[in-house]
Amino acid sequence: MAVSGLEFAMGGPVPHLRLGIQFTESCSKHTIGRYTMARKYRGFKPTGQKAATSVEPQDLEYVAQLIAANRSILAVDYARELHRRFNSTESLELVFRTYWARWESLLENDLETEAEGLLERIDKRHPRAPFLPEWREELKTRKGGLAARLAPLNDTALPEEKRLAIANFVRRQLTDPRELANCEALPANHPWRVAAAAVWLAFEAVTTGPADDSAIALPDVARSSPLAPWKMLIRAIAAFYRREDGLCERSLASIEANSAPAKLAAALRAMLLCPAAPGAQVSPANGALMQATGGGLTELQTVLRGLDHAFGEQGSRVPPNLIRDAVAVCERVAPDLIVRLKQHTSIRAMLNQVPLQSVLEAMGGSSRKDAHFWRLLARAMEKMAAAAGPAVLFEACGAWEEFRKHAIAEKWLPAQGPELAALYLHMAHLLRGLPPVQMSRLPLRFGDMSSYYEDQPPEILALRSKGPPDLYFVDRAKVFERACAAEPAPENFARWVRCIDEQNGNSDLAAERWVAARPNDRAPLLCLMVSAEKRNALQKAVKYLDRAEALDPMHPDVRRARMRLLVSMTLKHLEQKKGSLAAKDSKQLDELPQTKQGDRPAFVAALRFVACTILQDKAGAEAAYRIAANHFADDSMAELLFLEVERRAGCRSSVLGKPQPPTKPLAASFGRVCAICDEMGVEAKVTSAMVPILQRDLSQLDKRPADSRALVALGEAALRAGFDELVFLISGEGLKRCPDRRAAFLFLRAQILLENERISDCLAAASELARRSHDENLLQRISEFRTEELAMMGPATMGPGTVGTVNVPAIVKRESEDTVFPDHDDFIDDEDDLDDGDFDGYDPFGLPRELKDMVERMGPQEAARQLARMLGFANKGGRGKKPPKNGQRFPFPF
Amino acid sequence: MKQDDPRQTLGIGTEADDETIRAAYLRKVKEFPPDRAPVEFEKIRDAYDAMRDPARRAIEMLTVADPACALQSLLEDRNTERIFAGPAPWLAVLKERKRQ
Repeated sequence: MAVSGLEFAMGGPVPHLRLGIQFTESCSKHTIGRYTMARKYRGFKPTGQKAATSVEPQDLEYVAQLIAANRSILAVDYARELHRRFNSTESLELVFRTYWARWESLLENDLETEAEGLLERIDKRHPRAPFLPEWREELKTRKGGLAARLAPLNDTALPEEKRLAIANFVRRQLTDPRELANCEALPANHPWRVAAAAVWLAFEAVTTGPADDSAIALPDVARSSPLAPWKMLIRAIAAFYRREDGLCERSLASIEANSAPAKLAAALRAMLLCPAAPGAQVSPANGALMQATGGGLTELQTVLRGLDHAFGEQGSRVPPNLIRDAVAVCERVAPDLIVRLKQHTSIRAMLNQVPLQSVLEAMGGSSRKDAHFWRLLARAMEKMAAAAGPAVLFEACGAWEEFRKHAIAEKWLPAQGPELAALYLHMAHLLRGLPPVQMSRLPLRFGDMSSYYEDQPPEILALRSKGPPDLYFVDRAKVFERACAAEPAPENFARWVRCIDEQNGNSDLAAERWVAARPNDRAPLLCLMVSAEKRNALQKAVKYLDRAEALDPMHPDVRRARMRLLVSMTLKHLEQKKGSLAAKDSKQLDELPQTKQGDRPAFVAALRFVACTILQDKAGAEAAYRIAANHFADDSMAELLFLEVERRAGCRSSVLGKPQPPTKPLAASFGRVCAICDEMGVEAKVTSAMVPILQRDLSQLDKRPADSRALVALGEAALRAGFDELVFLISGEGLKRCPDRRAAFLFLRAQILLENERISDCLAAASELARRSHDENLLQRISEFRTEELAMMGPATMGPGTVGTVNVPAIVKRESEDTVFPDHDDFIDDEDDLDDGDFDGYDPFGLPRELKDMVERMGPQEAARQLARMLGFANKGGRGKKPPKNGQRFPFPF
Repeated sequence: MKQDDPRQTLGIGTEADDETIRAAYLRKVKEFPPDRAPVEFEKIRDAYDAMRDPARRAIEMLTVADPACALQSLLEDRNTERIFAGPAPWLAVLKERKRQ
């Protein structure tokens, strides 16, 4: 007969089998010493073997082993079974022996209540048991409290084992050192009382405030003292408050596991935010300690960890009960954190698209809509724009506007100043590349944040917009205007002016505000001067220039502006055939030091030449011509310049007659003319008759480095005239021959390409090279071109605009080696290249229905051509703008 | 907080004003003088430059908020508090009835 799962290495038959019993299948095993026995058994079954008739030595031995193994309960049950079977004196003695073992075990663990229960049961079963009076006496002593337990220590003859038992009692049971310190059962100078008093003082010190090492040294508490665990506990608490978490852990580890202070080890470990065991419960006293010290937020951390995990893994299906639990725990453990928790939870739920109503119900209401919330909401909307499209950026700006109001009310931001300006600049940065939106095209109730203000306290409600919302933030220029009002710094005004210029608006208002706010800045005066010049209000332009000169006459911008304005005035007077006025202007030009540089004297001479011809001053005209011819040492070169100036002055024919044959290639000489004109603020013109000659000259240029400045100027003139193939050729030659101006030639190349990726590469490389050479003017032009491209073609079509330096040489090499002008028809004929998908996300508020119908009927390409023809874009050229030729460019976004 | 957060470098909170920022900077410079701790000093100096410029400080304040941050991060500042609560709550744990 086998006993399932049970083995005994006792060298004989299993004792219990002698009883004719068998353990049932539900036994579990564990090993104690060299025996493996059941920890718990469930009844006995007769085995059918012949049973014994009396207690035998094996039984005694078995019971002894059970007692030695601290299995007093098993020992009692076995002995009682033996006694039930045999009912002999020996069996009764065995039972009593097991009762003693059980009694001692209970007392050893200070389980007086259980011991009392055992005494009562034995009193009922065996009222004449000889040990009962002794047990009653001992219980009585134990119930007498600490004094009763310690009193025997006064007996000098007390056996050592008793003394040790009392010490163990103190070690395991003392939960308040004051009890021992004040225990009158011992004399006042007893070492234990003295040590307990010191322990209490140290404990009080370390839990009340920072305690230095001398206060917690406790030299009188030896390692063998029953108060030694308290000493380690005090060290652990001191380390906890000093944030020496490693030392705290080590001190906790050295506290005896069965001592009274060990109860605090678990609590301290939780407060150090050690990972809690799954399903670990926090007792009420532990929870109160954690809350009082503020260091234990394990429970809250656990639920928040679960909620974070759900947001990360379950998307919109986050169970509301997780939110509910987090809010409930937070309200209990950290009530001051509940506002922030609700705010962050509602934003996370929004990002995950969790149904709003379920979130509100789980949180027990909406979150507080203060500055912190609006900042979170705005940042969340910025994140969403990447997936949801740029329209969300307008809503993000709406949230930032709400943030502004609340931040000022809550003193996060002052009502004026650089901090507020920084907020507006951040909003403007979000809107870069997005065109201003007409108010009529905004969706209904756009910018209406009133729903957020439901169920809000009065101080929040007070900041709700009354009436229709101010939607200034849909126009980037208006955002800059506010930035300037908040902080009238020159860089803010410059951004405002630039923004208006990019929108092709009139920046005079911005410049005038700039002047009013900062009268000593010359930049706005120069802006106003340029604006007046463009309007042909030259007298006004001169006045602005005079004011700028009064502020800083030596500044290069001012000096250049004076020269350019005088040139402009001279040309205007020449166009009006006012020879004397033009002569006067050219005399003033001649007196400027800046016209003495480079080829400028030749240009001034050309102006004077034309003025003299109007005045029919032949000698003067001859003299002017000689100046230019001597300057260039080349009559044909001088004639080219004079022809260009005559053309610009509106002369229908040249007084020079038939021009002399050129001594240098036209590309080189006319390039030089273009460069001079650029310096003087005049746009030279490339005519169609020049194109084949220039193309021939460029392809025959010798290997010597070309005049880079002249070649760039020639390229820009060709660009203005719309000769893209010529520009392509010039930029290629420039990349090969003029390493000092590769940035400019790459920019030229970018402006005539149609392949977006290639445009992006060229712009990025040009930017990088311009940055390296600190060419701020070129960087500005590249940026303006990029913005214009974004406005025309949509953000999805433009690359990131940055490229690592390692790619620049590759791009230069590719472009310089490519000599085949790309066939633009490859990019235009296929309608798929311009379908609506290319512009998705660009026009966030939709096209007018009529325009959409037109596009649907005709297709985007044809619709763009028709619109271009209607609005006169067909042959428009200008500096930096390419005319739409054969449908190459479409000025309208779709 | 983000790595190399100037506030974290100077050991100041989000509500710190100019005086607090300066005091924190001077305290840190005493702790890490340029001749003895040049690397740390440079970091402290950069942090101070970032914090004392109102515009930079404002930008940092606007962009520091991460709407997708872990909710557990709300407890980061909390954990720095370890309040002295006196002996009573500690003793209450010890006296709590032991369950068998």
